[in-house]
Amino acid sequence: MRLECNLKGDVLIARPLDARIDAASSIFFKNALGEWINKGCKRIVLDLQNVEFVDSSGLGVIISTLKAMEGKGDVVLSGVKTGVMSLLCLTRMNRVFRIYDYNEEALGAIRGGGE
Amino acid sequence: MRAIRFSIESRLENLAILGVAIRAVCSQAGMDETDSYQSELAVIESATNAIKYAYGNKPGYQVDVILTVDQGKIEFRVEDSGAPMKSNGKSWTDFDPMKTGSLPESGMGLYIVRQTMDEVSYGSVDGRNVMTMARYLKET
Repeated sequence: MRLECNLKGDVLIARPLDARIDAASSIFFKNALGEWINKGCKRIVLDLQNVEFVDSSGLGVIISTLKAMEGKGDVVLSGVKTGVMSLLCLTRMNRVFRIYDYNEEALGAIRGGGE
Repeated sequence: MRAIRFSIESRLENLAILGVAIRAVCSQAGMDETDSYQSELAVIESATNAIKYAYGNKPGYQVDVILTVDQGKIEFRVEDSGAPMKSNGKSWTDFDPMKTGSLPESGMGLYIVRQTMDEVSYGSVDGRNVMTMARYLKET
């Protein structure tokens, strides 16, 4: 799995370049994001515009990333495709994560611009 | 009735090609984007459980998925010859979305299967573990 990471100020924009986050790739994904958190990154925009499929393993990594911040940071999602959105709704994670169409909106929100 | 069988070796990296194949068949049978995604999701969750738990993540074993399109529904059978699935009895859905610490990180697979499929059963057939799931096709 490939993950493109860019810092915009203190916000990390993490964009998976592959179409799937499943049990085969979730460990890489978890470790890659965990390294940024260990380096002090507390605000992450997860850009899912390339991601066509997320299973419960992938969703678990997104949740664990938020939990790793221990209430002192935030993870917001952008570019979520229809199928992935249905998983977020099925599992009620659409009530946990703020979700935006584009990175610019997500950046504004995570920097304190509200919804 | 139309049926097709996919067989993969018990390696997690084989799930991607299985998923793509499942979604293509569902789409061809008339499912919309969300229904196709959710059907792929349920099969992948079941096949992942077979690889991780029935076979203990050991390669060299076989997972079979048989799709049958018939009578307005698609049936998905996921079969393995490993250890039978045991329910841990926990309900991961008991969490507060406002409390980050209460959020589940695992154990969602079977819940997702039940939420996405219209029929679900699990049992042993001729010594093999069989997860049978079905999703009704919407009338057009």
